[in-house]
Amino acid sequence: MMAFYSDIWRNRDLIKFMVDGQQRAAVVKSVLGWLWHVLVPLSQAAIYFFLVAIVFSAGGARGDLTFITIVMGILHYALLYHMSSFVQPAIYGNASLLLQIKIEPAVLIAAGFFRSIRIWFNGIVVFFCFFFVLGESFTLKAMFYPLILLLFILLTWMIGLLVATAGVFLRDLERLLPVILQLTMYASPVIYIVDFYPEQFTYLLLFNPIASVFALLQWSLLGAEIDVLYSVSVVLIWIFAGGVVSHAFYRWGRTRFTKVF
Amino acid sequence: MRSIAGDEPGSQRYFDMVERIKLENVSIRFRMSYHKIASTKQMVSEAYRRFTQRWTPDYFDALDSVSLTVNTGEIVGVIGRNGSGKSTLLRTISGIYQPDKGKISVSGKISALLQLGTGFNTQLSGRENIILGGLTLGLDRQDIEARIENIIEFSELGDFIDVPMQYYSSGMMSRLSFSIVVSLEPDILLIDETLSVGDLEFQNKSQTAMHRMIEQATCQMIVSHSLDTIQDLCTRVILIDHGKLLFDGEPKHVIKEYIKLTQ
Repeated sequence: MMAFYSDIWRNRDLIKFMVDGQQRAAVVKSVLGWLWHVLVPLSQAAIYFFLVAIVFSAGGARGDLTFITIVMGILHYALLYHMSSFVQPAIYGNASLLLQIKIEPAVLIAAGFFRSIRIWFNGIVVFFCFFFVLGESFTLKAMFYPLILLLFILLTWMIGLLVATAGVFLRDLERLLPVILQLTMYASPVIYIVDFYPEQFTYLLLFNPIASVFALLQWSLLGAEIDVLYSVSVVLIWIFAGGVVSHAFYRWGRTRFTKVF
Repeated sequence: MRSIAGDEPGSQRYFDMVERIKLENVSIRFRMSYHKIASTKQMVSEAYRRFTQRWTPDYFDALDSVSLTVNTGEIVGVIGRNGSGKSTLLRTISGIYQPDKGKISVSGKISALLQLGTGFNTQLSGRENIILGGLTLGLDRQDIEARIENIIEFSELGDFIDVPMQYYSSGMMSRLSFSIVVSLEPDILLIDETLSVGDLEFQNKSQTAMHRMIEQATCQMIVSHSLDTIQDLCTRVILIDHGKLLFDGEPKHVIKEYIKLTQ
C-alpha cells in the first residue's frame, strides 16, 4: 500500500496539472463556468425543500426540516456525484494513455478524485455562506466537523478506488452508479433530518456509512441528537473494510487493465 | 529462434557488455476481441455457457515464449509483419503489459516512445501541453521548465505556442510532441515508428535529433517497417512472427529473412 501512495505522491505535479487542465477545459466557452457546480446542487436543494418540506409537509412532528439542512446535505453529498463523474471513469477513460505510457493507474484515479474534491469544496464554501446568512451559528460540536469531513473524504476515496477498478471490467457501472448513489441519498439523512428515521430501525439504517456521516454532520452543525459513538464506529469500520477490499481489488486489477482495453 | 552470425551470445563483445533488458520465456495471451466481456449481459451469458457447455473463450498468443537479452551499447531493430507482436514486445518491456508467463528484468530508466501526442489536452496551450506531456513522460516540473524554451524553439511553433492546441494542425501537434520526446535523456529507449514527422525540412531536423538521442541512450529497441532505417541505425535486428522470435542477429541477414518471409 505504501508503494501505491508513494506513486501518487511522486506524481503530485502531474495530478495537479491534470486537475487544473481538465477543470479549465470543462468550463471553456461557459458563461457561468465553475458556478454551475454550485448552482446545480443549490437548485436541487430548493426543489427538494419545496417537495419534502412544503408539498409533503414533512417536519414539525419529529423535528424541524429547514432549508439549511437540505443545502448542507446536497452540497456535501455532491462529492459522491463528482466521484461518479470523474473517478469512476478515470482508468478506462484514459485507456489510450495507459496503452502508450507506463503510468500508475492510481495517479489517474487520484487526479479524478482531487478534481472532485476541488469542485466540491466550492460547494462547501457556499454552504457556509448560507449557514451564516440563514442565522445559524456554531456550537462546540462544530469542532468535530473537520474530522467528520475527513472521514467522509476517506470513505469516498475507498468507494472511488473500488468503482474505478470495477468500471474497467464492468462498464455497466457507469449507468448503475448514479442510480445507486440516488438510492443511497434517499436512504441517508441528506434531504431530511436523522430524526425522520423510525426509532426501531435507526441503528440498522445508520449502519449505512453514508447515513452515519450525514447524521454526524447534522449532529455537528445543526444539533441533531444521535449516538455519536455508534455512527463514528460504523464509519471507521467501513473505511477499514473498504480500504482493505478496494486496495486488494485494485492490486488484482492493475496488472489486467491494459489487457482488458 | 535462430541466431544469425555477428554478435552472438557468448562472443567476446557480449562479455564486455552489461545486460539492460532480459526477457526469459515471456508469453502474453489476449482474449480475442469478439470474446472480450463488454457488458453484464455478456458476462452472464459467458458464465452460463461456461457452466452448461464447458465453453472457453478464444485466446491468441501475442508473445510466445520470447527470450531476449539487450546489452549496453546495442541498438536492436524489431521487424515483422503487422500484428506479429512487435508493439506488444515494446509495451511488455516498458511495463504496460504484464506477462502471463516468464520473467522480465530491466536495468535502467525506460523511455518508451510508442505514439506521438499521447496525454495532450487540446484545450490547453502548446506551452501548457509541454508541461503536461513532460510530466506524463516522467520528467519533473523543474526539468521541464529548464527545457521548455529549447522545446519551443525546436518545434518552430513561434507565437502558436500560447494558442490552445485544438487550433493546431496535425503536423503542428506532431512537431510539438516530437520536440518534447527528443528533449528526453533516456537510459533505455524504446521507439515505435516515430522517427519522422512534419514537412521535409522538419523531417531532416527530427532525424538528426533522433539520431543524437539514440547515441545518448545506453541501449535502444526500435520498431519500424522502414528497413532502410533499421539497416542504418541498428547494430542487431530481431524478427518476430506470430508472437515468436524467429531470428536474431546482424541486420542485413535478418532483413533478408524477413523479405523471404513476406514473399
